[in-house]
Amino acid sequence: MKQLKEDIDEFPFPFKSNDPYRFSNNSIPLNPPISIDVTSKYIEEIKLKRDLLKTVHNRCYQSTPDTYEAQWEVLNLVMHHLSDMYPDRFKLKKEKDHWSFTNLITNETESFIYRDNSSLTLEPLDVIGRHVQEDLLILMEKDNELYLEAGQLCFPGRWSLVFKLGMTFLEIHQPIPEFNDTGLGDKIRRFLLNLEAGNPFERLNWALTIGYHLDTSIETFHKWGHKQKEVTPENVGSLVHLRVERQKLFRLPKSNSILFNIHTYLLSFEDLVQNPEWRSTFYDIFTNLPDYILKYKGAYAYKDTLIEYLKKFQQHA
Amino acid sequence: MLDMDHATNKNFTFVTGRRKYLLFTDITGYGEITPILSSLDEQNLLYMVYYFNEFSSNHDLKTYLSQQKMGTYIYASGNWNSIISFVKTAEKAGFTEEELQIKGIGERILRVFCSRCYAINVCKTSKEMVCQSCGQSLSVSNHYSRRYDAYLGYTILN
Repeated sequence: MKQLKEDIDEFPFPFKSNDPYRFSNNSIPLNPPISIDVTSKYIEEIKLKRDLLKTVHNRCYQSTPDTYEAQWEVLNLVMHHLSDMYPDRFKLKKEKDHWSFTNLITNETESFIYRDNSSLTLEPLDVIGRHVQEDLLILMEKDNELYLEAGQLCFPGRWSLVFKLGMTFLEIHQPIPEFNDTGLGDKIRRFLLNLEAGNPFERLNWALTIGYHLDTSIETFHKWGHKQKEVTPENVGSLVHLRVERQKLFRLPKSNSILFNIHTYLLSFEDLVQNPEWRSTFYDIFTNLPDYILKYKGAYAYKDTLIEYLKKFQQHA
Repeated sequence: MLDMDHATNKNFTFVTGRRKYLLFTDITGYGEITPILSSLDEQNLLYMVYYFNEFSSNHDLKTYLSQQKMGTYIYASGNWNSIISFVKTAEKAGFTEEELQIKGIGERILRVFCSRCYAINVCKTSKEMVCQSCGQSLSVSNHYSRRYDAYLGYTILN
């Protein structure tokens, strides 16, 4: 899919320098401290999200009973951020506990009584998640440990919300090579436990994927996984995409839980190489990645083809 | 959960220099710990031997393990069900892969969660299997869910 200039302008290129890439805690303070980004792909992605929620709701939405307080906090936070940051597109009216949230893009209004579960037809997280491009996950803190207890996840990067529900932070990340063995996992876990309300953080995570597909769930790997084998020198630029997740972390003060949201961006390499700085930085980093990272990032199968493709542009630079 | 493959030694290796040694076993696994017992006796080191069924519950076992001081090292051998249950409890009590060795006897039965259809399959020790519910070929990972008491089976492409 050839992307528009505004899509490329919005793309959060994840590398600041061409230093060798390794797994790390690359979180930085979120400025401005806003949980949601509305991009030019809003309508397209909201439609995709809602189609998935309609057809495979169980795969895309999970929660445990103890999360309602946290879910209402997420709804509160996101509705305020949307109406404050994008007042021409979202309106929030409140009369005591009677709230009315209007999405002027989709021409929908959600009216409900705040913190009254019976006033909504869906769970609060499932309601507000349908108005944002982000996937929304809730980590509950219990006994100095963080557990994934609720989530609306439509665009996963090769993981399953159904399988990971209820896991601790370290259990969730067990598949990442050297994450737990090196102490990095515990370091990030302690960072999250110290996260304070009012001081949100963000980080950029990246992987490679085939085609312009936001939904790369492991449940459907049998449908899309084989495309890795279809990469050729002729199609590598249009087929292979850099997938970047802008992840944001907010402490929710009442429930003492953490909102972890993920906004996923995709950019094909034929578009990426148009930016000489991005192209050069990515080339330097990619050619120095060890195999275990290439495998985890989904790039091992077509590594050489992509390097040859990038090299052509490097030589012409 | 602790990585069973990582923590499983074909034969126990005697580790020296620990404050205290705990040995857990059953009738099937006793033969595996006897070389370790001999080494401990020879070097006059502090140790205790327990049968798994001496603890009336996992809670009692966890309480006992939690009371152990730093420098305690564990050897455990027995049938796989006992070993898996023991390792989960030891982990909850704070023991890591570096502080224990295990040896399972007989067939190891795994529960495997199908990433395609969510069915829980029961299989013997294996790297690959076919989901009995949807027919998908799966690669058995060591990604474990306590909620399902199962390991994740990733789709293998044909």
